[in-house]
Amino acid sequence: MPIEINLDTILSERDIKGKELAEIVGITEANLSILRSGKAKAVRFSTLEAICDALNCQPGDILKYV
Amino acid sequence: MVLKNLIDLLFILMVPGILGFIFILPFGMFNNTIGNVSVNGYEDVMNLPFFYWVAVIIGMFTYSMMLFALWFLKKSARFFMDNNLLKEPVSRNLNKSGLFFIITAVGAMGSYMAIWIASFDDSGVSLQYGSNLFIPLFLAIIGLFFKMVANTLTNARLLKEENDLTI
Repeated sequence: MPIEINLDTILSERDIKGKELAEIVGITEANLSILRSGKAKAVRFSTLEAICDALNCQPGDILKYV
Repeated sequence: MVLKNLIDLLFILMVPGILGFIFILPFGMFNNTIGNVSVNGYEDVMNLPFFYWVAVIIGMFTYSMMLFALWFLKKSARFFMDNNLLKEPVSRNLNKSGLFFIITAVGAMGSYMAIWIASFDDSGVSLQYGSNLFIPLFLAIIGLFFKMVANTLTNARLLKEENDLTI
């Protein structure tokens, strides 16, 4: 897939664990894992907004077109 | 499109059959032609006209195709019991069942055609109207309907997968 998820890098930069992010964003760890592994077919704007809010970043920092 | 046309055709062909209830049944007009043909065929089975043999062979082929259709329908039906309609085997087997029902319909039509052609020797060319024609049409409608349902279930499964992977 030409869209890459850069979430792991940002999480390590911010020193936040996946479990914590899942709790803040309000999604399950399983769904966050699907997103981190790049298996997700789509991301809701509301989820993206919550992730950006939690990590204090831009959508472009998380998603990268390769 | 084909399914709709077949449904329309079957409906149009069946409507005149109502006239049979009105005009034939009250007068008790029955004949025993079928009984005679059956007895003659049994006594003189080795000397049947060529097209009767064709009809018999096509009939046997059609019967086995119908069994295949029912076999695949049975395989799909297992999942209906657990309400697992969106499993991949359901749509796959339903699609195969529909295909075999269509082949059965074509075979049944071929068999009736062969009997019709064979009857030319006995009574000359004649056009007949009867319920024999409805069976292949109905089978074709069932087959196409199953294929359409299989296609719908495949689309539904893909949509569900996509929905499940939307975060």
